[in-house]
Amino acid sequence: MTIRAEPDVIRLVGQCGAEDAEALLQLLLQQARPLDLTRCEHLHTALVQIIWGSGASLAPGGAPMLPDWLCQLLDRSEGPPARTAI
Amino acid sequence: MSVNVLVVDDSKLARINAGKALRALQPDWTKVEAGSAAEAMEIVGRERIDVALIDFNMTERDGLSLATELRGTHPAMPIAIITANIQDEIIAQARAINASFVAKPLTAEGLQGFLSGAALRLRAAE
Amino acid sequence: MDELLEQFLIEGRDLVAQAGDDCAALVRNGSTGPVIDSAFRAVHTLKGSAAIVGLRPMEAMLHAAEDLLGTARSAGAAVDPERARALVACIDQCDRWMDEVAAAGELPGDAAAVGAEIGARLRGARSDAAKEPAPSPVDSRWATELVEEERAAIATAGAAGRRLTAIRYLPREDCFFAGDDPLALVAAIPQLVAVRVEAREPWPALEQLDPYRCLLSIQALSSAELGDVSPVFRLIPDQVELAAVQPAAASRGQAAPTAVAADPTIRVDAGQVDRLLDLIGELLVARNQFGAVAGASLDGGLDGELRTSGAAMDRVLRNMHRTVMAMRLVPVDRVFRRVARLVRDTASRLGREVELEQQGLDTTVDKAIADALFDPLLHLARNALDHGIEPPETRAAQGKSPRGTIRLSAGSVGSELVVELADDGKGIDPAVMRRLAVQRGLHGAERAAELSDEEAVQLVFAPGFSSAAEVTDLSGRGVGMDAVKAAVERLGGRTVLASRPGEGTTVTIHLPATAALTSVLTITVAGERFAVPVEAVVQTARIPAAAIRPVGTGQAFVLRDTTIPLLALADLLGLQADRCEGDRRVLVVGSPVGLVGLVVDDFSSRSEVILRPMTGLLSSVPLVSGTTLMNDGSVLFILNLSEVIG
Repeated sequence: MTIRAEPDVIRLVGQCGAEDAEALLQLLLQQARPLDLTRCEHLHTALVQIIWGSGASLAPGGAPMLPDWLCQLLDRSEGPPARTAI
Repeated sequence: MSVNVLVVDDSKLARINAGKALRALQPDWTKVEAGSAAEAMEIVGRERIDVALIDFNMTERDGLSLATELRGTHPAMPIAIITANIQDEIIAQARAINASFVAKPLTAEGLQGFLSGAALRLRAAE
Repeated sequence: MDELLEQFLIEGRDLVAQAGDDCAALVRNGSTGPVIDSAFRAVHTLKGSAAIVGLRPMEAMLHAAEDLLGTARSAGAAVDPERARALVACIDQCDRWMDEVAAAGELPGDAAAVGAEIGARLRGARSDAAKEPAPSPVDSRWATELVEEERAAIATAGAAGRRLTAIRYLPREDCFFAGDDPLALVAAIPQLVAVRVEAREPWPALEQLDPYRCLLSIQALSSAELGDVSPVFRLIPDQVELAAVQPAAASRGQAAPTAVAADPTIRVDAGQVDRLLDLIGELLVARNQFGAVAGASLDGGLDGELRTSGAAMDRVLRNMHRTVMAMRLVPVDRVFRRVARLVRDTASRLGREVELEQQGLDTTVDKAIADALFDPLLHLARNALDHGIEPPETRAAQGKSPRGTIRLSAGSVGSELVVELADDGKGIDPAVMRRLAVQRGLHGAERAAELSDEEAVQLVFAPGFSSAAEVTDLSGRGVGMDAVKAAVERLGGRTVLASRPGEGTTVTIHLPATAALTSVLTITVAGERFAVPVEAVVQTARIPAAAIRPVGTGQAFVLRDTTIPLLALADLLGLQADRCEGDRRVLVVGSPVGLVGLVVDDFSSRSEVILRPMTGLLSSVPLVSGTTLMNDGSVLFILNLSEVIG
């Protein structure tokens, strides 16, 4: 399972594809929690959109396996517009 | 619901390879093999097929023509054309019948996008 | 043989036969039409098959053949006799290669060269005519505006004044269903300079968000040529606009060309680069400290802006660290050259005839690692000469070439640097190793007899063990294979030895490509603080005293159905610790014999640190792999847990 709900954090692990979108949306609707992306290797655009919509913050450790520019775009609490320099 | 994936390629090696990539990504899905377009049409007439992966370059009949025929009977089925050389006119034709492209040789990485899209579509249709 | 390769050989033979017949017909009567069609398909499928099983030179050669046939097919023309003969040669070569693959499992070493030569014959005069015209630069207003607005980003990327490619990408709303991942495509753009993501409509509340509808509009800039960016979006031309943007700086006169002509390199003292790396390390510590202080003052809830700026700082730090590490890279050839000279000198002294092959000389490696590699490599080379390569007459008597071969190679595999020293000498005899193990008191006769051949050969790494029957002036200098192993482990690497009696020995050293940041966990043992690498720790746990059971002379506990031996880390480190009776705090770590629990006083947060290898006197302490400077300015030892447990 690529999405793991824990009491105070939602952990995204490995290759997180669009098929995880509904599950992530449901979890965030139930209870807003920070997202742990430290072991996330790929984050599909559909998931990025949900993260923006939820305003969820990133847990410490950031998202070391995602491109820097994507981390930068993610690290904001509301949706686009967003921009980043490499 | 079990998902049946039709793999159409006249090379058995390529079909084995496609099976490997498929297993890596969707271990629960069932692979159904066809060695030619004719065999593919026969299978489609006989059993339920949910997703089709079709090699473009086949001896008797090319994959795009098979995909076009399949689209007529299966308007919503996710179809991918597997090909190494993509010419713009082929892209345009495939777009017109709403088929995706997957690069050849087939790898799990290359197939991933199409398969997750297909999974979404199948679930949305449930 | 694996299933794919087996099937490749079955199908490949048929395809080669088909293509061979067709190409022969092309030579005989300059056919067009159906024969070319048939040859094209066979060659195309064969190329695809070669690609599946990873035979790159064959794939590349067949690609040239396919291009030639494809061009002839669409033009309805015959293939000229010269290149038809090249086609026949190409198919013959495939046939030979398939024999080789069937016998050896891989292509011969000269395959790339042979394939390239035939490929060139196939391309013949076609290559110049077939060149695609370069896309003419198009200036679009949106692209110019994008460049204008992202001027700061362009400057940061060092791309000011260069030609840029602007990308405007409006993904279809239902693109997720087609398997598209728009941001992943953006990530695939080469030489990305800036990315902007905009919402096509006001961003909906979470309750209203359709998870499968793409709502984004994306713009990006790349410093790559338009022709290098367009393949990324090849399959969705309907959703993307690309534009080449000329730098506005063109009007500033002719200053630029002179700058381009200048030598882009400067010489810098290596000591200064080291100093810079130390400073970055301290900056990192300061950053960690800042995070801790900010966290405390806000009672754990970091304000969003602070967090964002912290993340920005982390990024810059990571980039700085990467850049400086890249400055420290040197090619391995300077180490290899020294080893090679020594091999030649030693060989003549010992009366051995040795051919020294070197591969991967341009592989780059961190200077510290290059310097530290010299001694272990030297020792391995001496071992190969002293114990490996036999005297010429012995070799000749065994039907080997009188000249022995030592192969020294380097290469990057993933994030690892792999350095290998192989000889074709007499190898290590497991029987001799068993006997020596008993003689030197390492094992009892019974245990020694139980060792597998593989295990027996690995005894060369046992401390103090030397497989030479007598200690010679060359290798008997107090450095054994255990020293090689330890030296490599100090660099964060591992050593693998493979040997076949009569055929030779290969020692492979795997090293991390760079001394990157290390995540450590701070622990307290017997009142003292240490750091352990996070990757060595499987889990931290709190074990109630009641759950600890005596096992033999020791203790153990059960974690998720597994019984795990429990050791006091203080004892292992030789420290005095008070016996505690309550809950134990335990680090669960992996070891060669399975999981082991280590009792510690306490563990605290993890942090990112730069590991400094041990220098001077302390470098001989195997329990410690390095030191690090912590947030509060204290220096902690980083424990090498595998040594501690072993």
